[in-house]
Amino acid sequence: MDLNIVLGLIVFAVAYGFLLFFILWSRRTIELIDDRKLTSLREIIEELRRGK
Amino acid sequence: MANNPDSQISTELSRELNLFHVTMMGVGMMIGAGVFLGIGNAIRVAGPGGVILTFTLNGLLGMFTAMSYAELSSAVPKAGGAYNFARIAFGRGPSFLAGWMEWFASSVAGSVYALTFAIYTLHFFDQLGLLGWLPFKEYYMQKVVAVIIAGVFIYINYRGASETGKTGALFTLGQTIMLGVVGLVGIFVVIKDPSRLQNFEPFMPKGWSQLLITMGFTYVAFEGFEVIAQAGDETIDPQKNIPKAMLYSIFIVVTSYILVSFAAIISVKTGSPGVEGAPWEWIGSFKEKGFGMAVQRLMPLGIFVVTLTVIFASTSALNATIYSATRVSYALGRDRMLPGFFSKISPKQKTPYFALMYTSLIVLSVATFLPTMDVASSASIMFLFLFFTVNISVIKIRRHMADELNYGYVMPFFPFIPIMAIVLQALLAVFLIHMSFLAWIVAPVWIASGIAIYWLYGKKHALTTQDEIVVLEEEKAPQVKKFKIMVPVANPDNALQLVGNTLKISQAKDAQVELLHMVVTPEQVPLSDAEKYMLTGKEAITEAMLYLEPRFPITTTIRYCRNAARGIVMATREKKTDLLILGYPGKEVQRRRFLFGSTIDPVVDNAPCNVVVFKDCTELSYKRILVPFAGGPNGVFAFEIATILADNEHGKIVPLNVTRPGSKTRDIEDFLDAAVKIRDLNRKLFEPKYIIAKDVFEAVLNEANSNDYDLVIVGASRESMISQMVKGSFPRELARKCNKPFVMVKATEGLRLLIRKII
Repeated sequence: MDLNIVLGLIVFAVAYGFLLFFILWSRRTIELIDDRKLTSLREIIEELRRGK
Repeated sequence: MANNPDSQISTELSRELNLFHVTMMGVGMMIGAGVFLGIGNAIRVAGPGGVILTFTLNGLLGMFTAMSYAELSSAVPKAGGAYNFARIAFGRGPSFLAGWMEWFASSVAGSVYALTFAIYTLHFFDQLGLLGWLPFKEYYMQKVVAVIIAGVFIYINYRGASETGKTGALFTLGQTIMLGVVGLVGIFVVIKDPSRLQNFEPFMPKGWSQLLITMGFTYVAFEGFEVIAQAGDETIDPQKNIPKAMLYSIFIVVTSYILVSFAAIISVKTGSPGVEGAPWEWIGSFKEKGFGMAVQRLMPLGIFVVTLTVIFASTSALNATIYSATRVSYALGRDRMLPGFFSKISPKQKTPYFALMYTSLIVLSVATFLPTMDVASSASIMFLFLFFTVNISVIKIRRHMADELNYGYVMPFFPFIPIMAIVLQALLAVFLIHMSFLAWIVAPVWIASGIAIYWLYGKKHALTTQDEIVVLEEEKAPQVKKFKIMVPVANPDNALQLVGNTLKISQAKDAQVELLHMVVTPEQVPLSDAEKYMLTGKEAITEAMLYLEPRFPITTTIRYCRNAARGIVMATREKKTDLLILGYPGKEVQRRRFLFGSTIDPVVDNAPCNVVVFKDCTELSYKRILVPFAGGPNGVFAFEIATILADNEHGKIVPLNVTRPGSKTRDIEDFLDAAVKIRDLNRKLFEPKYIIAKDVFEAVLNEANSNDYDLVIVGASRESMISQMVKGSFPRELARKCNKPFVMVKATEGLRLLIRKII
């Protein structure tokens, strides 16, 4: 198989994987902020770190 | 909310758009043209693998900017988009430029959609054999049809029909389903005939660098966030739904683009009738029409499906972009950054007809005189610049105004994501020169003309908005000293505590003092009533002046603002202050969220100068001062302040180094010797002390609370207050638990200072 195809598939998988990760992470964050009625950036960052 | 600064009456749009509607608005804007014009050209330039990677990587890059938009839109859910964000982050000039770029980008995107409509409808009629009798070249016919369809939608906008979210959402859903069907047919065809996968060889026939070119000119296909941001006033639960809509829309669009690109590549087999060369070369040879030709061969009625989709997609996007461009130029006129006639409303149609007229001029002239790919490239460059502004704004707003805003979403990996977006977008913009040299002339000329218009007109005439800081009273002393100290005073008690210490520091530094009082006026109160809140501040400033004025020149300023911290930071930047002196009232308020309070924390974080915070420091000089030793610029600065505050005859300064058993002790003497060379320190006052203890913090606290000292001076942590609040902080804990007069100092030097002064 052409080396470019292998590289291309890796780039595709990584880029699309990151895209999915960001969507899911962001969705979780939005829900968390909404559920816990967080508003200030300090509270949100504290909560996100605690959630790790 | 649209507020008139001169009245208390406010109007609000009804919130009727839900998550589905706003997501579809974004999808509709993105699918408007990019996929139809872009695929054929991307295949021609980057090959079969290149087109898939182009849309995937552009999707990821678009996601970076979408996260910036999502964060800002959740925190500032008002109509206005990039123009509004830039105004909040950087003030009038940059916001004018953002609005100016957005006006052009949206107008030119309108030209792209008009041309897309023309190319695909003419192609459809040509395939049916209905155009053979026409004596004109196809190129000119495309221009004529583009101008006609643009004219129709300009008229529709003049009549007052705007992009209606609910109806538009259904049309967009239809387009997306059609594209999904094309993609699924492609997958079905490959399952039936896997040999078509050979169409992907060679995968990148012209090399990987071509990706940067194709990513650049198809970037216009990822510009739907702006329309979602504009819908903030009309969306149900905008803090939650606007960021979600931005992220979902880009995911839907990227997945659709990847699927249809895949379907296009495998649409024909090598050696099929009429297919010359490799399939990717054959599709690429049709340029803008490549996608249509591919789908025509992929499925029965393919040309009909594509044409129908293009008609819906390009016309709804054309309508939305003309509406959006008109709205931006109207806003610039309303805020008097452009001449007032831009905000004139037609008495009959109730539409901003002058703004629409000038928008139409751009749409029609670009569609008529520029070749299609130059038009698409010009729109892409301008959107790249616009997104550049948004990515910088998200950094600035989170760093400087986070405490004033209520966030509904925060992005991960901040600030790396917006920084990466800025760098990659700049790279794509540069590489677009390979696709369209003309676009690289048009875009800078537009930006340069915007800067000229702002300097000649906008700067002088722009109206003050609710967010801006206004000087209410100012008494200036003649500037006779180089070193400038600023002292914000809030109330008379606080003022008296501060002035004694200020006196000592200003005498030692031979400085000029400026007393500042920020009149914090609630959001609900109009500017005209700000002066009612001045009384307490005036009293405090008068008391401080009585004490200080006989001793050295003083300037006093009273300013109105919505947030004291931002007002103080802006004042230090504006006045080029060298040292900011703050008084900590010591109230037990909001301890969980702040170290020293909601005003002092952001000021210490963001002030572009050295900062000293005094807590309970009522004496004028101190006999024994403890300085827990941490090294670095804060350490030197702490020693300097200690030298100033110490009693000259009997005072002693004790730099304290606490180390854990087995750890190497740092030599304070060496540090002091070095510090004396760069600062004016009285070396004889210093008596270093070394302690070995398991718990460093407890050892420092016990030492500080012992009867040996009457003042404790600590260098601030190098990390931001938010980070300290989360991770815990040595100075914070010491400030809370120490029962002695306490001073925290922060030195801002080197690169950090330079960056803060510039941005």
